[in-house]
Amino acid sequence: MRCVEVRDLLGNYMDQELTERMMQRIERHLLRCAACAYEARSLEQARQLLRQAVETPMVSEQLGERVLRQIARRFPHLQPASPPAQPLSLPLVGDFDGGGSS
Amino acid sequence: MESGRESDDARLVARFRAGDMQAAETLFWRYADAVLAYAARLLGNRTDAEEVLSEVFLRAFEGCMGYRAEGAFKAWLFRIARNCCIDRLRQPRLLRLEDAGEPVWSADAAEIELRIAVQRALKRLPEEYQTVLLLCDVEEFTAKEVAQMLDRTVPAVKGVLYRARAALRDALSEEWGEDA
Repeated sequence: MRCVEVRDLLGNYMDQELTERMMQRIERHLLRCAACAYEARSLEQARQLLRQAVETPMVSEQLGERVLRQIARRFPHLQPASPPAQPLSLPLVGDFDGGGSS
Repeated sequence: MESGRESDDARLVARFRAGDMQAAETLFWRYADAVLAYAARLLGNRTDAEEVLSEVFLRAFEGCMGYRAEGAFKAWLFRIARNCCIDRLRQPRLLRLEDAGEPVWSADAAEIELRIAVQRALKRLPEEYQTVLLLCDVEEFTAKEVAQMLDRTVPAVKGVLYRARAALRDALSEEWGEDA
């Protein structure tokens, strides 16, 4: 494979979206070509750093409850609990005026 | 093509429309952390992200009243989140918290240093690059899902993703200079 072909497929290679045969061809090229190997390695490293650096903050229980209270106020058709015995019937969309969809 | 999670979401949306608060709570807690994280990354601070969080879910549930389960709920939710963040960023600067330039999560010094560098590098990229990187490489949406969210083609998203990864790498190299 030529470098230009490898570069075109490097994104798919990183995301493992290629056939096994094509993955192997690219890997063979990367073993021989220092420039393409650097390109692949540095892109992967940047992706890993991004994932590492953007650790997920958690929604606190307090914040979650506040948002859920807002939701309950905004949608008065909601019932606090869903009794299992109650039959589930989908209402018409127009039955709900509380949503105030814009 | 529909995953188990997607069909479960669609069932929860139907239950929400039928008046089941428990369904709303399940959908909220299923995605709240991910939406908060995404908003915090786009906005640069947690306080703004927390305010946007309620807006995102209120808009999403309003939309649910007319939701026809045509697409994945999660992808649609993140599309709303992105729009809410863009609206927020367009607000006059004085009305928003100034970015502290530091992450808001507790961490040791090395982690903080890493996060500051990555955040700064990320912020230097065009908005489109940031969005595609966060959606594809952090939230792990597929290119097809992101294409739907952004009204782009799949090849276009893949092209942007490749350029965005390269731009992030270059920006990180500049952040760390010779040490990168």
